[in-house]
Amino acid sequence: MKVEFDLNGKPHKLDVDAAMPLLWALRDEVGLTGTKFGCGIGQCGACTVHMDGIAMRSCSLPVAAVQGRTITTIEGISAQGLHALQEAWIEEDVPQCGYCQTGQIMAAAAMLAQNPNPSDETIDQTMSNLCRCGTYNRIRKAIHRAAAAMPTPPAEEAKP
Amino acid sequence: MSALSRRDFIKLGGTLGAGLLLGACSACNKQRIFTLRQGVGSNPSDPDADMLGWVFIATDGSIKVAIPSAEMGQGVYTGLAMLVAEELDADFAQVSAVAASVNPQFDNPKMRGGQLTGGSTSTMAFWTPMREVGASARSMLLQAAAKQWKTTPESLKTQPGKVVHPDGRQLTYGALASAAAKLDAPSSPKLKSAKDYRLIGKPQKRLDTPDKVRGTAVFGMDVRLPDMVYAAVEHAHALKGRIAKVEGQAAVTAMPGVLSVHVFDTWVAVIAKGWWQAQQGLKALKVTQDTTGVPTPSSADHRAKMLQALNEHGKAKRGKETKYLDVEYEVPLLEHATMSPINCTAHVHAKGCDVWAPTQAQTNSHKAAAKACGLKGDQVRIHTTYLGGGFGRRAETDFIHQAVTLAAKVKLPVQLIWSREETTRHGFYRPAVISRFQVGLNEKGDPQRWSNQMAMPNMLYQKVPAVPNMVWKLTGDVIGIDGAKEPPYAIDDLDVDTLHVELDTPLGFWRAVGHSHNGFFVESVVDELAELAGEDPAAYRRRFYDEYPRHKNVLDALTTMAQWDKKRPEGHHLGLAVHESFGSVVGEVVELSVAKDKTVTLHRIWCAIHCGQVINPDAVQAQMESGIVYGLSAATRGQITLDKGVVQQSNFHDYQVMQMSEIPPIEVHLIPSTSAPTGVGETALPPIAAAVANAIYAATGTRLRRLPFAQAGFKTWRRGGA
Repeated sequence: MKVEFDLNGKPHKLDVDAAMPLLWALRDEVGLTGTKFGCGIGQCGACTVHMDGIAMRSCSLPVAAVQGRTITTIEGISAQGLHALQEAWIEEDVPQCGYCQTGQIMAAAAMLAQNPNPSDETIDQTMSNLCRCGTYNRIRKAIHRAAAAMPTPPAEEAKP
Repeated sequence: MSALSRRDFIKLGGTLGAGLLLGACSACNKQRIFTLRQGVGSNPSDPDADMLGWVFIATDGSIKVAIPSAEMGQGVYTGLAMLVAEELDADFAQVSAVAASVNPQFDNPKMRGGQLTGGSTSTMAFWTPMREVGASARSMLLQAAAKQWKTTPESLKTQPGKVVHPDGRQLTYGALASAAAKLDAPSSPKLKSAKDYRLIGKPQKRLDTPDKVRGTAVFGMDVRLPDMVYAAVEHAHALKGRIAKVEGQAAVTAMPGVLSVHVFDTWVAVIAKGWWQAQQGLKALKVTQDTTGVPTPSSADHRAKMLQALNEHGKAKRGKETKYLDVEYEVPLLEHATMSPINCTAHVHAKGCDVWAPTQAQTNSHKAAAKACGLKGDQVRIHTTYLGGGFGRRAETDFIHQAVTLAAKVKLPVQLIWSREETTRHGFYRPAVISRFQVGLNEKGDPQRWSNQMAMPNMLYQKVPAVPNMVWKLTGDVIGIDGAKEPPYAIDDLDVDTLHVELDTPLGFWRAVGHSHNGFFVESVVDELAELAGEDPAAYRRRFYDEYPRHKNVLDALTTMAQWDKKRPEGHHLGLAVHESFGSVVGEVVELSVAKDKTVTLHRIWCAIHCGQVINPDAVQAQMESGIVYGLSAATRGQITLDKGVVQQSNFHDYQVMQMSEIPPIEVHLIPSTSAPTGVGETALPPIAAAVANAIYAATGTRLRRLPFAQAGFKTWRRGGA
């Protein structure tokens, strides 16, 4: 199946099996390896990307579903330099083994886009990505740090 | 350990361009540092070649440190690079860390097995060699500067990254590197005293973080080679089962992208142009299982066998003690559940065999690869990638052998990837254990007689097959008993032993190994004894710690941090555990509350560690957080069960781990010390299950003697506020 979609700001064409999960299309066909394979059943979140700005688990998203959509991976999360979350991740020294962290950052970025200043409860409800090294508390701190560092949202969202 | 000659070092190639490259031998007694003159610039056309020296100072001033240990999250790249940079007086901003190649010079002097990352040994093992290499390089740079300025090295000083003349002239290390490379390395350089440390003991940002947050860090699965193909595998379902028959091979080979099907005695592989196609091919095969003549135990059989072993051994005779504890504790099999499923990339070609491996065991990986492809020595090269979690699983070499076996067949680079299901069902499991304690207290409440019999599979039967089982039968499981052998509780009459029970299950080293269960057992039992003696759990332990200064320091720090004696909010309760492992002592206090429906709210966790000289405080703190969370997953719900030889769990939905919403604030205190460093990476795990169980007892009166706690109905866990 031929699919056309926007990938990290550029139009992209793929000709693969419609059922192939986006994860494998990204890794094996496009060659973007920042999106990770962890479980294959949408449980762990290591494969998190954005589809039209929403965090999606790409291991469970068939390529057919991305036709005409906008996909963002860790490689395209910031047009220039590092994303505020990546900066915060470095400041808080979040990663240990690091394998889950690109997925964590993608999940957090989608959350901040919806909610620029999330409470701990919102973080608990939204951030369901797994980490076996136990970096959860640092992820939480880094999200708060990034939220504080990010530019004030546009006026219509920032109204009191 | 092999002693390397100077000639061996010079023989080693290098690809680094001009500069100063120093080699060393961690296992040699003397003359352990060498200048690698001919190793410099010999093969700049091969960018993939690994670094064969220990430290390389380029003419632009950048410094590369080769790290013998695998970076699996513990921060070892940064910590060991700090040791070199400290003595070299390097500007840490110019320092980078790279994986060392596989070579005897990088053998871990604290472990058998050559180059091997495990047993929380890395910092202990390379504490001295890394600093000596740095000091040696600094001494050579000073000599080179002295020659240029026609003065003595003693008259010169260094500042980060440069040599400074008393008259103010300066030469950067980069400018001096080529001249220094012509000098001989001093064999026993003088090391700094702790008071002069500029980097050691001060938090440094991890060197691997930027790549890990950008997604550019290369984990095993991220290796990309021209013409590379992908392999998916399925093992015989039963742990000791075989593949009887595979049907549909022709149809699968005709599927889009599929290249070939390979059937072995115990596994089948499909190779394709992409991993998903390979996995689709695998699912389309009809595989018939064969378990004739092989053991196919179920978890109930395991349990019955362990209880039988305890019964056959019989109970210790009770003395005249008035207060007596007679209890059994139990833990299940566990899988490591590294975030990255098992994988390995291999290429067998005309010039040899290259393996890109997320491995904790480079030397054993080299052996496994050589065995699989029939090549040897320099023909086989292991390139260590980032691991995506190790925890002991990646100290095994089954996946190395498998990848190289396939690569030898297809003559193309092959990336082998196991599904999560295969990774869960074909692991090397932490042994299941039932541990019986019979402890009598004297009139003062001191444990007088302590009998502890542990029914468990002796790991050494499997892990060191070169030694006859008879020997291990006599010694008992010297690893499985770690952490139970000599409890620090002034016991006169101590009888601790392991009773071998064959479980017919592949066993492995799982984070903290014997300590992972014995920390839970012993520190829960001590809590029971404190209650029997009618004493506060902290005060009771403290009575015995006079001869154990690290325990005492940790307990005192912990009770201060947690304000142990302070009245808690309504419904909040505390639990405590202190455990020594890998040379260090870690203590933890948990504050929790339990609802009527057995929902547990974890409010806060305090942790104190005494691990000698701390290198990177932030990394030690991170490892404490890590061990606690990993240990909580096991304590609350971790469990591998077998049904007729088949693992019943498969993925994160039925082998669940802790989530963000369940982890409370964790406060860590590092006991200041300048004694030689001891272990860190595994040490926070052993106490946590006991600290939680002891707090649950305080809250509910229910003594949890069996892991995971979910079995007793404590299934829902959540984070409380700070």
